[in-house]
Amino acid sequence: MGRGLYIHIPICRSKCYYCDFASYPLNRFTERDLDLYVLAIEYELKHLLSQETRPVELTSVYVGGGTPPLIDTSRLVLIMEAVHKYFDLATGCELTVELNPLTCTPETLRGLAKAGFNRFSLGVQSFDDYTLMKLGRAHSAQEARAAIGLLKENFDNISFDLIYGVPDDDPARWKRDLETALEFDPDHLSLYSLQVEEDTPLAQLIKRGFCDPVDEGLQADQWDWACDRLYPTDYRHYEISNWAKPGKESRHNLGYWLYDPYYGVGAGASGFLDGQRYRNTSDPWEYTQIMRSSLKGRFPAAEFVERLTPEQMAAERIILALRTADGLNLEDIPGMSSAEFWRRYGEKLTYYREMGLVWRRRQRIGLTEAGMALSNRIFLMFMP
Amino acid sequence: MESRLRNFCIIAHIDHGKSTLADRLIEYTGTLTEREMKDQVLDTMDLERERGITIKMQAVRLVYKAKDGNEYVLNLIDTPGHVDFSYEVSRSLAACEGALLVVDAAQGVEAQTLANLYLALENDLEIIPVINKIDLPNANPERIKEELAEIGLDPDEAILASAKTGEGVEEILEAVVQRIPAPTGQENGPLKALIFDSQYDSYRGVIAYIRVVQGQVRTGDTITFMASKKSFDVDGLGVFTPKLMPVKTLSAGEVGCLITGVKNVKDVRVGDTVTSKDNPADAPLPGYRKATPMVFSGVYPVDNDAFTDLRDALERLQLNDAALEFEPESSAALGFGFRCGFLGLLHMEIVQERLEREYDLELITTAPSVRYKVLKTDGEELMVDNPAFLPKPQEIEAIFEPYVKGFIIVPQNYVGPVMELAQDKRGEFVTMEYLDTSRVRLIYELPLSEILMDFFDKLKSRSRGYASFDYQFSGYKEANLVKLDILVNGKPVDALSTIVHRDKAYHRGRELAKKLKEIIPRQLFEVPIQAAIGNKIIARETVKALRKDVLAKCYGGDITRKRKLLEKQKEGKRRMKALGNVEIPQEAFMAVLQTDD
Repeated sequence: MGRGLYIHIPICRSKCYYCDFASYPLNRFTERDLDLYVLAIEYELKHLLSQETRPVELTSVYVGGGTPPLIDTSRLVLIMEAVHKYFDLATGCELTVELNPLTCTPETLRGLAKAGFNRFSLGVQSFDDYTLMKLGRAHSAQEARAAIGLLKENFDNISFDLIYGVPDDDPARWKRDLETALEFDPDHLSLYSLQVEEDTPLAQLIKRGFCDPVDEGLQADQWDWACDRLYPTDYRHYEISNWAKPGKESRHNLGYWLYDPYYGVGAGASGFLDGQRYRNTSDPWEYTQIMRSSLKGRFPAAEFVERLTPEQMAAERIILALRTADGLNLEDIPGMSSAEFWRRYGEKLTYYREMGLVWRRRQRIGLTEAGMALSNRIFLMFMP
Repeated sequence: MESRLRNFCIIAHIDHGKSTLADRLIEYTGTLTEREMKDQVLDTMDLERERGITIKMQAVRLVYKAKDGNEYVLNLIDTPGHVDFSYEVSRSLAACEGALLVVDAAQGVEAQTLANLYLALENDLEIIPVINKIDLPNANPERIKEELAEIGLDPDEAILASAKTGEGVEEILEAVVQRIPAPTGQENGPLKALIFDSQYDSYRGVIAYIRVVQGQVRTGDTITFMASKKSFDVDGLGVFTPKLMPVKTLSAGEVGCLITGVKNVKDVRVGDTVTSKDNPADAPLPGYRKATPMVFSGVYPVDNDAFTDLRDALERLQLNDAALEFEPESSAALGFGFRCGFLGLLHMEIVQERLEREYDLELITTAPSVRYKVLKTDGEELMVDNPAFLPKPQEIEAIFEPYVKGFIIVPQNYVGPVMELAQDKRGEFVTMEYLDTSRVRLIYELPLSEILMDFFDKLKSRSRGYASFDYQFSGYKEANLVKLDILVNGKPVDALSTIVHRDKAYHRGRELAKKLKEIIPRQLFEVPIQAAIGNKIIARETVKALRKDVLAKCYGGDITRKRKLLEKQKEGKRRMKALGNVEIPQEAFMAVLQTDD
């Protein structure tokens, strides 16, 4: 069992229209704010470790955002030094950083190398300028191509994020984008279907009629098409929205699905430790303030902590594992025997199996690709 | 004493200010201190206060020192305003000698004003017209007086009042004292008291509201209920001020309540006569109109295990709502539940809401139906209030459906659209008369089933909210009716069957299938929805299979957020009923009411 660390940098140059993550524009931060934020992260790391009874070995570190390189790679170096200072890193520890095409400069890449990152997740989203505009992305398709070129010259283990199901989407656009992405031969692909979240500019645009709502039929077509296109390739559909070449699966994200504990550090970060889920305040200034005071409790900056009930634990364990291609080992469910599992869910699962949505191999069950597309409906039966 | 007693009630169209006026009378007579005075004290149930309507009446004793220097005891008996509850009005009227007829100074005479007035006249009550809300900027008391004259009242007797400001309240109280006759009745003869309402209290048992017509009843007496022939000791007597205040005796002419510790509400039948066991009266008082349910619907728990809870809740509701009827029934689609009989749509809604709110039950109710009379080819006659139980077409000789006489009051310029609507609803024109220069009263014979559909809403929209409506049962008429079945995923769903006029069946079938297509969410497979008459499919719609329902987004490890989304989805699903593998939301069973035609 691994243990992950997620560090959130809630800073972007501008906010994309669909984004409802904790992130703030860079121009609201002074240099001193940024220095203090990095220091606050170091304090939080130190505090989290002080709550442990023995040294902790991490199997993955993921620095996400926002756009982490925006705070200057020198600060990312400091953060990674702090990680090394307080935690042990397992051999081959996966160290991911998120970046976007505009931050992909030779200088930045040198800085990221210095910080020790060995996996790079690039927010490409699309190779189509019109689509990028609709999403409110600050970069152009040409800039994305250039960034990929540069990234590939310097590093292995690169992942692209791509989005489908954009309002007024053209079915051919998605095919072209995926083909273009494949030409660059990334190690990993995250394909996200656009979700219109409340209170985002995109939701406003749709509400006011500037663009059509997302076409669910088209989204389904695009999902089908991506599954079919990638099926005969080296990429394995190892999680609902993720495809990877063999051995290139994101260990950090797999940790989420396999119920490994993880620390969440920074404003707006979520963590999961000892059966408790928590989320830090999303306000970076408030977060910094808290970390500079005397720290109380296990999660001093948490705006939300919940201790999961045994029923919630079992349900989460089942649901999260079923997001992966390897599915769920029925012996892994906390507080539930596989006999009990079958007694409760056997009838429904058999029905879903007959519909081709669920597979079973001995003590393991999982969702087929068709089942993944309808996974929410299937997951409902496990909800307490 | 007798001559210092007045029993009266207030009758009005909904929203004409009856409850506010009652409050003002209570306040003026100092029955409650200001601190005790909550707005509209007579409406005690939460639901009543929220909806601003009175469901259960109560009797309040007011003590008023009149200008003649004498103190009078005035029993104010509250009455419900809505058409559904006209039987309760008739009960309260039987306990009174007079009525305040409240008319809104801006809106004028409305359909319920008339219906209540006629009931009052049937009971030989003295009517005091009150033109209320004269403080409103658009009040037009002169026009209202014309209307009063038109419906046979003396406009010069009308009192101008504002329950809001208190204007005219004293004049009303004086009129009650001077114009309404004191109750007559022998204080010496054997006890005769009419039960005009009853209520169940978990501590005191059944509380019977009585009007003593002859003789006297005292605490400790042994009394007999003449219909049920059961005898009980009188544990207590009381009057409402409006809080229950114990008294030792109630004499002829007085109104109050009788507590006997009876646990079974059926022993205390409304309309029954109470007499003394030792000195019984030779004949009971004439009873009055019993409430007959007109509207029926299936009420089922979403969770089948809650069947007994539902039964208990219905039994408890019935204790305070004699008009509610229910008997167990079962549906292939919905499991075990009850067929309930209601006075009308509002009564149905109120009962459903009380069941859900006060008893925390989750319910599925089927579309309301009327009670049909079916003559079978073998000569047998039966009453059918559940469309699923209509005999096969070849066994039916004739079907009769209940008709009502509908009274519509509407401004002249909307007469055209309103008549068109009544025609659409298979209404037969009876008569039309002018109330004043601008308002018209229409009378139609209408099938009750058409009124259940969406008649009120349509009437309001076609008259821009100006039309008012009331109806009374008028009898059964033969009609060309057929059963319209709905098949979901190839299987008939008994709870979705309706009985419709043959001329409308095709249209209704298409509309219903279309509506259900909107309501039934996509399932994991394609679901055909069909409408059929007998074996003949007359309409078909398809709910396409769901293709994608997935959270393909990471949320940076924020699993709680993912879980919350699923919890929300699960909550929605919990309110659905599984028919085989198809999940149907509760609204589907009421869809038949919303079809647009």
